[in-house]
Amino acid sequence: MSSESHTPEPAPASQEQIRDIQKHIKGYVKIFCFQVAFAILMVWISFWNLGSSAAQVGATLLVAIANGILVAGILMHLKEEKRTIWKFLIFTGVFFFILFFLTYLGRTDTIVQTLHHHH
Amino acid sequence: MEIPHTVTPRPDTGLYNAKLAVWLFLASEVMLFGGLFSAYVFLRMAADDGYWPHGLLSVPVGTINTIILITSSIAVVMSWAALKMRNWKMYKLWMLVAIALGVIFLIIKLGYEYPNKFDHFGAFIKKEKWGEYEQYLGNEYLAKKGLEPRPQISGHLHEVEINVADADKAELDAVIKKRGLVIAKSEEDGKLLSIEVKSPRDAEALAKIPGAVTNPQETDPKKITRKEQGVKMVAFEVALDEVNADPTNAKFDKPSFFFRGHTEKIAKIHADDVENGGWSAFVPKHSPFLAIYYAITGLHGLHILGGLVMFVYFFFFSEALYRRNPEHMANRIEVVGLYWHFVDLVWIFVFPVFYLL
Repeated sequence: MSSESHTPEPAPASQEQIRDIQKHIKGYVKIFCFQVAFAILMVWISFWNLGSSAAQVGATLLVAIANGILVAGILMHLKEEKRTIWKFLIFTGVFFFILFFLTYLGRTDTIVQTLHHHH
Repeated sequence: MEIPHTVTPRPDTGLYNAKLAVWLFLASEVMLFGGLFSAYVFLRMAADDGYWPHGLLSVPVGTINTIILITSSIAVVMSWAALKMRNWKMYKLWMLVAIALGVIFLIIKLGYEYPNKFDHFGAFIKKEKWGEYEQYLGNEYLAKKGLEPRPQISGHLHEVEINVADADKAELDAVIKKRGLVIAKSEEDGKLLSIEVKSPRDAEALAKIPGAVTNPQETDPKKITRKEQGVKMVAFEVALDEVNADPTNAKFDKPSFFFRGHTEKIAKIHADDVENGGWSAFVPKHSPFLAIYYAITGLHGLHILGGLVMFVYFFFFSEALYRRNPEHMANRIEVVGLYWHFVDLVWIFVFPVFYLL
């Protein structure tokens, strides 16, 4: 039918590669369990009375950050990624925080006077 | 000519081409979503007390969608692992799981969450009129408890009272007929109509009907008759949400995990008591919260759609590459997987900031 069926199957992976990937898979299953647990924990914390709304926001976002670190570190392989990628991300991170700092600057930029031009 | 480093890494960077490219792309995506999250913070900090809703979105639905995306992320990484182990059937199976979960996520978002809001009505009451609507807002009770005020009455809009004295009659009849609306009551020689509506969109369509005002004093013949809004909203009849039906009940002091629906209790809200432009369905123009909610979740949804297109492509059109060069194929899935994990990562922050906090 197609040319695919005439192309031979690729050579099987080496035993070493298979063992390495199987180790990865065990890690992914653990990450999945942690991620679901973190999602549930995040919901629970958000309804739990921590005294102040700032504490509630802080604790919920802390769990979200932990969950994000799992995704980026393990699933996106950032943990074992090359320095080039890390350089990109650090550079991006700096601009990301500058972006949020602009929000803060916007809060301080209040209009104190209105000028009227008479012609 | 063969392009170098599509499979093997470049010696200087240690990365193959596509991986370098996708990380640069993801860096730009961080800035894109970062800008929107920054806007979220800005809007939230600028909102007056009570004007930033808490518990508006259904937490169980958001939790289910979070778990769906987490599972789909794992499915993608498992499909990559299957290719690395040269297990084609498992690759196809995991890819199918990822596609199915992505589709379910979009169905929940576009088929359930968004339409529910498009049919929900809310009206922000003018501050000086809060006292007249105390039985629905409960602001005296909230002030005594030191809680934020409740400026909005929401629920299911089922009837509007409109003044059609200046309206274009043909246009009015056309809108009523097209939308299948029912005139429940007609007063003052047909100038004041009570019309049963199915959703706030019907009310918005009625409000847009033009009218013509004639000014015989005008010397310019072109300006004797000018077009302007022909229908004036007089009142809204709303089947109240639970929180407005019983606003002094302590269980409404905090957001609830479970969804709160509307009741059969009816309230009449006079249009003059509503803030200027302060009534509509729960669409982006309704409030800064909904505007940024639709902007971020809409853009995120488009990213999900983009990921699904790539998954479907790789599900159907990747066998030839796999047979020719399985490592190249695994690299492609790794790259598309990186994109998908990023989309998952964005949702991990979207969920708490919109649904929980």
